[in-house]
Amino acid sequence: MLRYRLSVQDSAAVLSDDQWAAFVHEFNDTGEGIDRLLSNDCASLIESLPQQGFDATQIQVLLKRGVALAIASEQWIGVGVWVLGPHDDLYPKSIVDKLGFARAPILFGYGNIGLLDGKATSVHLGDKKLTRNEQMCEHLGALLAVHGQTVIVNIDRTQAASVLNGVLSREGCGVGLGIGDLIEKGSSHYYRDGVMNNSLTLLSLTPPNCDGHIRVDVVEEVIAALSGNHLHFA
Amino acid sequence: MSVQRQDKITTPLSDTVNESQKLVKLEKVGVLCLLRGILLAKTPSTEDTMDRDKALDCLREALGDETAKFRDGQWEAIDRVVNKREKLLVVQRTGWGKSAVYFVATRLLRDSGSGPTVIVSPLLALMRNQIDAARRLSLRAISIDSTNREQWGEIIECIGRDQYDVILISPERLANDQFREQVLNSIASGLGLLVIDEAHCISDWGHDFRPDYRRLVNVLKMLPQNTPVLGTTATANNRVVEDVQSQLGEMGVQRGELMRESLALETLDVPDQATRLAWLAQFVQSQQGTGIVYTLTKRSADQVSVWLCNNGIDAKPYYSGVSLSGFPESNSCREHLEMLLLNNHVKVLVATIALGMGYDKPDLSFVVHYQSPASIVGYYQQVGRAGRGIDSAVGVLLRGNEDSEIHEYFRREAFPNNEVVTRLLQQLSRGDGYSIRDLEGYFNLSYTRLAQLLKFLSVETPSPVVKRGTKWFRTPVPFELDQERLKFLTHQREEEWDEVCEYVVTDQCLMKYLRNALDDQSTADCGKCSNCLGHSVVNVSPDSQAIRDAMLFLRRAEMPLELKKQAAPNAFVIYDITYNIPTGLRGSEGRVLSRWADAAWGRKVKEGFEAGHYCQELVEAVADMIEQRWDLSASPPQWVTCIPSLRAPTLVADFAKRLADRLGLVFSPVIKKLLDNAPQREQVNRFHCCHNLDGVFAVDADMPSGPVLLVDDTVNSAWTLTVASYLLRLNGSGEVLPLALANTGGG
Repeated sequence: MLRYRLSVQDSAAVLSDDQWAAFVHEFNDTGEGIDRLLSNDCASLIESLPQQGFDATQIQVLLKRGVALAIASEQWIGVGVWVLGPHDDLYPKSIVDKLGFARAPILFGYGNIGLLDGKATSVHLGDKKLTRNEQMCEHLGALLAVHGQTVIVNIDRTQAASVLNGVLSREGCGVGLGIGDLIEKGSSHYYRDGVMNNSLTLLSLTPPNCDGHIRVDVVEEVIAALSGNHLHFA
Repeated sequence: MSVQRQDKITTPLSDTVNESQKLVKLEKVGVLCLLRGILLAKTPSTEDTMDRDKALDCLREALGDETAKFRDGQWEAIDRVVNKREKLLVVQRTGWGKSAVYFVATRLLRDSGSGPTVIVSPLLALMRNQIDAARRLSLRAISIDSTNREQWGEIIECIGRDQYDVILISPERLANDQFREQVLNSIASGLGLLVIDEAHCISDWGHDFRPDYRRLVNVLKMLPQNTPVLGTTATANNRVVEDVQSQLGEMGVQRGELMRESLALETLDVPDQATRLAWLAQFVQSQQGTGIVYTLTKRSADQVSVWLCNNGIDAKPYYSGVSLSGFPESNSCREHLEMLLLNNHVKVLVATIALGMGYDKPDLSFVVHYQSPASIVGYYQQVGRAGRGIDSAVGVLLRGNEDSEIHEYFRREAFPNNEVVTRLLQQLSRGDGYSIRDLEGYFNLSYTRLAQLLKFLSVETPSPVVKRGTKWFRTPVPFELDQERLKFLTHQREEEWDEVCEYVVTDQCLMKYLRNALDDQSTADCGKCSNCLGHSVVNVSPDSQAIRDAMLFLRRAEMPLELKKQAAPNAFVIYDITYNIPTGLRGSEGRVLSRWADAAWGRKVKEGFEAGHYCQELVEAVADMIEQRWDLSASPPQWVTCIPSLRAPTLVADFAKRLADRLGLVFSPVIKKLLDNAPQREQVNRFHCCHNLDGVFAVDADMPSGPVLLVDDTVNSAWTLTVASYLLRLNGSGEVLPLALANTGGG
């Protein structure tokens, strides 16, 4: 409601990461639970905040988008996408621990939530010719799978699919995380079977079919938070 | 390869970790809990609460009647929606004034600063009536539908400027992702009241279940708790109400009595169509006002309409896809037909259930069912169109021989088959997006059937398919058809049909029977129906001459036969037909004598097919049609040929030979069948119809000259006759005049 646009057409002035962090900080100082935001007198509460770094009016306008959110959510859930916020029990604890609650993004996902236990090995592909080699990337994925590693990659990067293909070819487990359209990725033959047999989890930091308003570096931060080990290809 | 291994990460945001420890309260509320708890707008305070007097003033002002009063339950419904912001299902008889409830509620909410009302309404007829009704109540209403697509941008801008009080959309639009993104999200942020008209459509136990309502339910489940929602219906029994409640969660129900005091009901068991047609013509002629005749199929609507016209009655057919010259698309044609009846410019519309919900003509004086409806709930709704604003009206249900078979077909086709669903999902899994046309190549299913199947799957939650642009994709959602539920629903429909059959023969009060079937536990008899009176409510008894005329009409109800013009791409590899069949190689418009197994000639055709010999009566019937009613003066046929068969080599050839003899023409079987292909009647879509015929026939170039009658016994897609005509013309024949004994297609 406060941080995401809900469709391509949605032009709501959503809170930036910094505005959100400032709001959460001030709101928590009131000692109130988030359910106060849903009460009839939330306007006076929001206006009473110091408002250092955000605007109360902006928040009140955003909070009126309940029906729009219901419509958007129906669309997401209707195609099997799950939505997890930091307040959900199943939300990866490692993200909240490492990024902090205010920076922890909503996760839109397909597949096995159990793979997000913070123990995966992240693979970071650079721009060198070697890492553009499809076969080499598949081989790397297969190798990690054979060693029982759950592999996590930035799925928006070139050859990320090859790494995951390699993982899945050896019956390993993988996690693909990005800011692209999750429905498009989940419906692609590259990933669909892996998701369906619970060996692949696809995550996006933006709602399906919506403009991404998440900084690319946040993807790397979340990958880092979900990883126990890191492999960097310079 | 440079691989850098790290055993532990350090996050640049580690200083924020401590913050999370302060956020215990936030963590307890999940995303989905939040969705259900978010407030849409402020709840009216005590000072804002609308009182009954204010609402009554609204009603009186809107109706222009200073003495107008609320009907029983109207104010209570308004109060629950406006002041208590409840979700409420109102089950009240047609004509009770459900629209007055939501329009007055809208007025009150708007006056208190709430956003506009969105009405989800299932039918075009209803939407147009609603707009007119809203205008009468001084509300600014707009419908957003496919007919004003070019104006959507402008309409959205107007909504943004708060220039509309009421916005009408269809459930189909609501389920359309593109529409949701382009239009609905813009409306949603300021929604004041959501109205679900004909809310019984939500229940798949209901007779009118529509897949798009399933997505509506999903949205409703996630709405903020205090978004007022008003569902309205006149036709829900307890089972449907409970199903709607179970799907929508906390929803209050307000039920009223369903008695329709102006309606006099009657049932008649009239098995044969000729007698029914004769009865109908005499009945309609005896009626002062206007009415609706309901049929089960489009074909029957056309046929009955022509019959009534032949009897001097101004009748028009009405169904989904109906066409009239001057109307480029069916929706505007339907609107035109509705207006004709509304303004008494036509005596009767002969309609399928496409003219069911929402059509409001207060002075409609009769509703006749030429064939039995599928359920009592559906019947009550349809017959309830009559006598809303007049003191007396008549509702007659005629039961025919064919009804049971038609309903059995509808039930059989209502739900998808597990094997087909599995194969479809497997095919979708093999690629990244298929259009329905693409899928036709893989499945011997019609375009419509494939579209229905994909629609069925797309409203499952979560859905195994998703549509993006024109292509369908397999989502990574495991899916298994709930066959037990489908079996259960089919069983429910069988029980509903049994209830209709019982209605026809019951000797109790017919209105009481309907009310009880809808769980209105009234014990009072109506005193008006044929059972209460002990005699017919309409004085109609067609004489034998009228019945003979009707039989003659049925026997002369041949249909034009149009051959195909465009082949499916890649289907005719051997014949090398790429797409368009050249004009010079097409057959002309032909004739089909009957519908397969119909009461006139169709039954004789079926008997002949099963016995392996078509009787001479059929030869005479076809000869009579050719000589008396098919104007072939421009190109009189010089010879006769036929479609050959390897399975029954003499059946059609023998008939064609006798026909040629009867007409004094030469019979020349110049078409040869080279391959024993699969039965053509089993081919459903264009690709399979074409592909199954590729290379199957050859034509002997040594043939008589002049126009030729090309004879087959049955026709469905017309592709066999199209291909044979093409080959005849390609080999130098004269004009080809196709002819078939019976049409086996649906409709």
